[in-house]
Amino acid sequence: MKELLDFLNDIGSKIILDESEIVNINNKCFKINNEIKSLIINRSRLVYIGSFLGKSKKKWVPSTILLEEMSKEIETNKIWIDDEAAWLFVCGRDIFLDKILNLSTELKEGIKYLVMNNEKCLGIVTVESQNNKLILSNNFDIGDFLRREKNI
Amino acid sequence: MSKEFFLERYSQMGHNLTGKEKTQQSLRVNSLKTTLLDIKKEFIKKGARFEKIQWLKDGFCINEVNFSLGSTIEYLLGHYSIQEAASQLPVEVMSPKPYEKILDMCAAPGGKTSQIAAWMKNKGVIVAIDSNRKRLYSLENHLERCGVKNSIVYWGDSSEFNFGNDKFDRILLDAPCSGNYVTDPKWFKKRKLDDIKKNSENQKKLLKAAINNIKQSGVIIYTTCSLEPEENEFNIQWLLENYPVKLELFEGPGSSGLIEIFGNKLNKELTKTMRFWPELTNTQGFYIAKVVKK
Repeated sequence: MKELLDFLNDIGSKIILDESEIVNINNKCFKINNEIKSLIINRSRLVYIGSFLGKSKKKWVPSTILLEEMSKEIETNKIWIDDEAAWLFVCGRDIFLDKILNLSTELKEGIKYLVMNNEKCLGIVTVESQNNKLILSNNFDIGDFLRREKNI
Repeated sequence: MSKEFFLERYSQMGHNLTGKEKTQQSLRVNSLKTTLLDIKKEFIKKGARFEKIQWLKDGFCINEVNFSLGSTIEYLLGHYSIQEAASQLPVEVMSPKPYEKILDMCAAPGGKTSQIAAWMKNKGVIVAIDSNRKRLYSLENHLERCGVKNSIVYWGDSSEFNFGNDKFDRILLDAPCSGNYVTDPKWFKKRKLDDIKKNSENQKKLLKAAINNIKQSGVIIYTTCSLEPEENEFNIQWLLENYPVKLELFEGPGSSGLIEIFGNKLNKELTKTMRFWPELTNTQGFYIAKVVKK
């Protein structure tokens, strides 16, 4: 829960989470409502429930459900890229500054930003300095679904 | 068993199949995330040729495509799923409504579970169960990608879960079955009649559990992707003989369920069930029964 709250705070999200609505299953974090809660009958066999928020894997890895909610809610910490850069990003690549079409707030080293292609949220980056140049380092992108399927 | 053995069985059921029938690649638009119109625009921009499947609400088939349908940004965003046409019909026949309580008994890899959530507009609850942990990882990915927020997923045998007095409004029993040759080129080499009979016993066990968990007047959709009557009409005949249920007619492109198979005369009510014969529907082999608990 702390990792999730820190992540939301880092990126300027105002999403409010009530601890009584949160369920953890194998380091994965889910948000549930009372109707769903009342139907849990076998906790030991539970693998997924309600709205998946993300997982704790050394660092916090957000779900695409959470990213989509955040992209609708926050106005800062967003950058927009074109179709070509979007495709490279979902293939796991970092983003060079010249690929940025627009940004909501000035880039600062160490800060996280949502990566947008039009109204679509594709993932998350952190601004990092490499060889005295700022780059947007890929923290998570939606191409993760394909990489996960390969590992099943 | 040989290819000839199975083709002869189908011939005895009135269908002269070649064993080479194919199904077209089909998609289902995820109405939780986008609209059919927006997906059409995107696909036109990408140069794909496609057409709406008239008998489905959200389905269309792809006639020509020069990119991988499973690796577009729209796919990764959950705007559509790759789902064979016949397998899209069971949920449409079930017609789940928002705020209902639905049980999806053999849910992995989750295509139909996410379709149920879309019909329910993410409101109400879907309890989804599967006994194959590996396939459940695919289901988890599918639910996340498609933005499903109203499911409870369990790992286990759905016939062994006890929900007490919590009965369901609708149940989908997409039963584990022997499959069919249209979607599996090695099917004829792999299948034996004994395996089909074993499947049938397991399917009856699951049907019995579905009866125990459904509300009075609730709907059970029983479906398989098998053409074998032991997994289809014979099971529903057994259900009609042993439980207070009736069958309901529904619309679709398939043919009526059979009432005379290999010399056995079956209940005429079975004509209300539906078979998808690949040479007639251009889909995989499929069977659907809409069962209502009296």
